Amino acid sequence: MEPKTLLQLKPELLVKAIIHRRQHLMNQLPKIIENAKEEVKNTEEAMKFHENLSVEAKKKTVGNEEKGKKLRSEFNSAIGKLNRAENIYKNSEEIISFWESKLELGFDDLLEDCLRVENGGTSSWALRKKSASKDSGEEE
Amino acid sequence: MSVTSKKKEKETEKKEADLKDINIQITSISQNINKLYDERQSLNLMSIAMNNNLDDIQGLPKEQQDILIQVQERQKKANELRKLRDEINSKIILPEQAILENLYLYYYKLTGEETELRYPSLKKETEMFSRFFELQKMFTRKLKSTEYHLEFQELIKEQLSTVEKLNEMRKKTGKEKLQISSKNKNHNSPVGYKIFKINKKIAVNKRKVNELKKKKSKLEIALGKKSHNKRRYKVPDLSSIQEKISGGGSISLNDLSTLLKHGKGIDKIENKQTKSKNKDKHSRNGPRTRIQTNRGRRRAGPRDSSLKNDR
Repeated sequence: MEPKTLLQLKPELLVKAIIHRRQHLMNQLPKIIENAKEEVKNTEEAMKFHENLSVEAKKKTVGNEEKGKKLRSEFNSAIGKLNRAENIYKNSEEIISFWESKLELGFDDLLEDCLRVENGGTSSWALRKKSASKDSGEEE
Repeated sequence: MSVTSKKKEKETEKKEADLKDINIQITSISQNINKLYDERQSLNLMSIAMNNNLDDIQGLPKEQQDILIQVQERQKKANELRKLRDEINSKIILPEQAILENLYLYYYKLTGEETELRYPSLKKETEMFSRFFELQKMFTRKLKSTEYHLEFQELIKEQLSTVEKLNEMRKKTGKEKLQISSKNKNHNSPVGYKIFKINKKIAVNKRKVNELKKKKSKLEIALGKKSHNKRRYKVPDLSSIQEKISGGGSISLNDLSTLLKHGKGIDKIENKQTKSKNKDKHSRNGPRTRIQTNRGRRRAGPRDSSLKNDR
């Protein structure tokens, strides 16, 4: 995307783009969740199978331990992905309705900083820097 | 011709060539110093013009004064532009490039597809949304600041080019001696750093000239063009003053100060007079026999009479 397009982008268009992404995600999420559940199941099984094997063989070798760690981290990431997908699915409707209401009622509350800068005020980056330096000064 | 005389001749030829080189170097550096002096003078004028002290310059031709008035007006404009630029920069601390990068980042975080389902929460989304539009406005204002900056730079360039112009004018008019009141010399003027740099250059060049001059005099001595005689202090003629005093005449303040500086003269005068008196005495009284008052062993204790009471 050209910088010019970004600089001329209107809030309404951006909101529409946000809503579009959320809706697209909503449509995909059931499948994503299903896949994630499958992945969790598979990784859990693989992890447990490896644990049983090592207990039966009474082998606590370095290679065995490393493989166990790897399977556990795969299981954890699969669970994380599933949780995230479920959370997004839960919140997506709320988020979409929030942006839709903004489209109807306006974004004034979200454009306060923008208006301040437009009227010659200080940017929030400068304000944050000032407050940070103030805090560090007080600490000293 | 013997080998030694040939060698000597070669050496003298080499020394002569060195001397020539040194002379050329000295003249070129001296010319450079003079140029720097001119430039410094013009910069001083500029500095004064920039600080509204034109009244403090006496003996400035009208043509040059007109230029300095232009400089003054330009400087006012430049100062205003700088102020505007700095004001924006203090409020918008991100550079243009960083603003654009952030705009891209927020746009893709708000609308793009994320790996591993790492999508922002609603709170984060609204925050990024408002920042995105703030960045848009920041960029517009930053562009304005850049515009001011470029204009300011252009004006400063013009200011510096007028130095050349002023130099030319001053060369044509024969560089009238200007009197600038020292109380208004502003060392924090915008051209102050340039003046400081020129001063440094002058000092360096002067040092070089001095070193070259030392080398030159050594070579001249070696070539027999200059004798070793160092400047000797010229002793003032004391005999005439002595005669005046001994003749009973009045002496001027200058004479007196010379005598005070060179006490030798006074001694001589006194010596002369005392000698003549003693001569008379000797002739009257004849040879003196030495009479001593102390008899026997000398007592211990301080000889100083002021310490007698302490005993």
